[in-house]
Amino acid sequence: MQTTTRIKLALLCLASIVAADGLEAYIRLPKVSIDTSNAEKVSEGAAFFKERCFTCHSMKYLRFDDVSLNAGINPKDAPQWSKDSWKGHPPPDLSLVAITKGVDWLYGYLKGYYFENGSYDNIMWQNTAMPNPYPDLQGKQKLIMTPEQIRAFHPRFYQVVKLDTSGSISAHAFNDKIDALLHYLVYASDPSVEERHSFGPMVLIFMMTLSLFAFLLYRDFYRDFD
Amino acid sequence: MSKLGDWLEQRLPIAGFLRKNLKEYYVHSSINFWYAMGAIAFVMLAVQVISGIFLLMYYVPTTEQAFSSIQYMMREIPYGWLIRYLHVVGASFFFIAIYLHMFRALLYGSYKNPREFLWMSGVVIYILMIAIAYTGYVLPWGQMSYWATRVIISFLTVIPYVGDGLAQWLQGDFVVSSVTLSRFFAFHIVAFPLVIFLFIGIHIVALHVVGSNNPEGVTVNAHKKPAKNLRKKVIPFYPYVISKDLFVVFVALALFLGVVFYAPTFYGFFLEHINQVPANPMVTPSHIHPVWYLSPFYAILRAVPDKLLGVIFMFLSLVILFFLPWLDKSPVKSMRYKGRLSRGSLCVFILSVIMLGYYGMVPATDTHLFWTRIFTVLYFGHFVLMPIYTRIETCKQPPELN
Repeated sequence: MQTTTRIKLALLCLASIVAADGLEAYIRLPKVSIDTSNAEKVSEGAAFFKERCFTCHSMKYLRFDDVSLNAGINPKDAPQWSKDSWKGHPPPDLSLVAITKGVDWLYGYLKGYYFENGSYDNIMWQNTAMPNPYPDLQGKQKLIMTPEQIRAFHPRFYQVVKLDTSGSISAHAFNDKIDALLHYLVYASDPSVEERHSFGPMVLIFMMTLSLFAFLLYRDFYRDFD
Repeated sequence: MSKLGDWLEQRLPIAGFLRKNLKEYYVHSSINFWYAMGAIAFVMLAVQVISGIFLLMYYVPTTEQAFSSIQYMMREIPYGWLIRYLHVVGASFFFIAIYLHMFRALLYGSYKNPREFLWMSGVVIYILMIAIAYTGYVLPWGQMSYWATRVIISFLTVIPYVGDGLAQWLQGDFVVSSVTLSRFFAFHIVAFPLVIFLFIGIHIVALHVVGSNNPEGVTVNAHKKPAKNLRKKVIPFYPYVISKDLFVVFVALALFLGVVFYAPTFYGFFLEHINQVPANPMVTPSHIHPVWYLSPFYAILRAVPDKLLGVIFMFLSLVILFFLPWLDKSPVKSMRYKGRLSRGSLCVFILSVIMLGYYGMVPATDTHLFWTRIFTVLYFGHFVLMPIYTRIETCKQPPELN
């Protein structure tokens, strides 16, 4: 590479361009909180993942994870894609997606498919290469704001799309499924949470007791100067 | 037992060494909790070394396996996540301790005569820490590891004539590649740690030659047993100061472990979300920025419109620290006795470092750049104007030891 090109490239990086052209930057997402200690939800989500996502997406870092294996998500059976498949955008691995994209964004994306001009698009990722994985369950959503309105008003997520024709399950049941899926994706991104939180309190109590005794020792020594 | 002990002591005087450097090392009784930051840094270094050794057992330094080897370690090795989080959070806590340690030196004038060399050896350790943190940041081979390496190596290319060759020599290839990763691995785990241990040794030896400073700025003979009337003002390091250090270190460790167990990525500050995506040379992240502890320098780099000058100013912002002992012309050491100008300038300086840290992490919009430039000027102003404002201000009379 030429020096000038390299400097230009570096400057390009330094300039830190923000991709602000997408509509998602103007939508206010709900704050989603997920408690992965809810084991039932997590395995429910794993089952839903196996059913709707695992046909295209892998979970390659969860090789020996009981929750995943019980649901039939085994990296050995994961779909293999070449670099050129899907016009050069093969479905990514989702082991860490809850960290890299954030839960709020995932919620918006998973619920963001709307039907317009005979095809589905996603409000959180315009022209996404990923087809709607559950039009039968969710039904058809439609966009109820124009892109101009979205840019102008910074609406909340629920103000942007609306259910037009219902799917095979109720909207409430569909929400539950998405909620379970989010539980599984968050769990998959860091399965250490359970273990961390199980003996975290003991470690902290130990450290605080140690600190207390160290404080008493310190007070005792410094009493020499009172 | 005592015979064997005596025999060994005559040949390897460990007890004598400890007595001379702990029990018969005297400091002023005014030294406070700010003086425990060095001890915290030392403990954090130990945490880094031990957790690093365990990481080394499972990490694979190749572009194909670096990222996944860490993920598998965190998920499949018993307590692998603990080892990894200890190391990641430990790096940030090490820097927190060092920044507080450096602030203490600025606050109480610990860099002033006769401690110039002590201060300079500390600056060398700080620069080595930056080098070790940066090379370590490359190892997980995430998106930010890769792109930050490209940006940082591109700094070298601005050097006239030799820059390009130097960059290629350092990365060992025409582009940042597997070769770059393995040599950064070697730097991170062998070369820099060895040098850092050497300089920490020098730092401690230099400290024990001149003795510890104190908030009152009183001169204390560190190696002479104080006279009877001074026994409450001049105290031995062991057991008094060490008991205080122990307490502060345990509290710091409790905080540290709290973060490790409950917020190991610290909301993306200690372990960035974007770096959890494997490196992809084809996709440039929309926003490249360093970890929090290096971002003030990155902000300074961006503040200067010209690239070569930007790199020069970034290095100057570190190099200027070496000259601090000679820039401060004040007759007194501690901020307790310095005038309003010095105190004000230190406050402005701390504010500018924090704000530069913030602006180094957010995208460089016009408003952000404007403020980055203001704070860059204030950062350098603190040092450049120091010979003037420390001369003209009126100081209070510091106490004498009696």
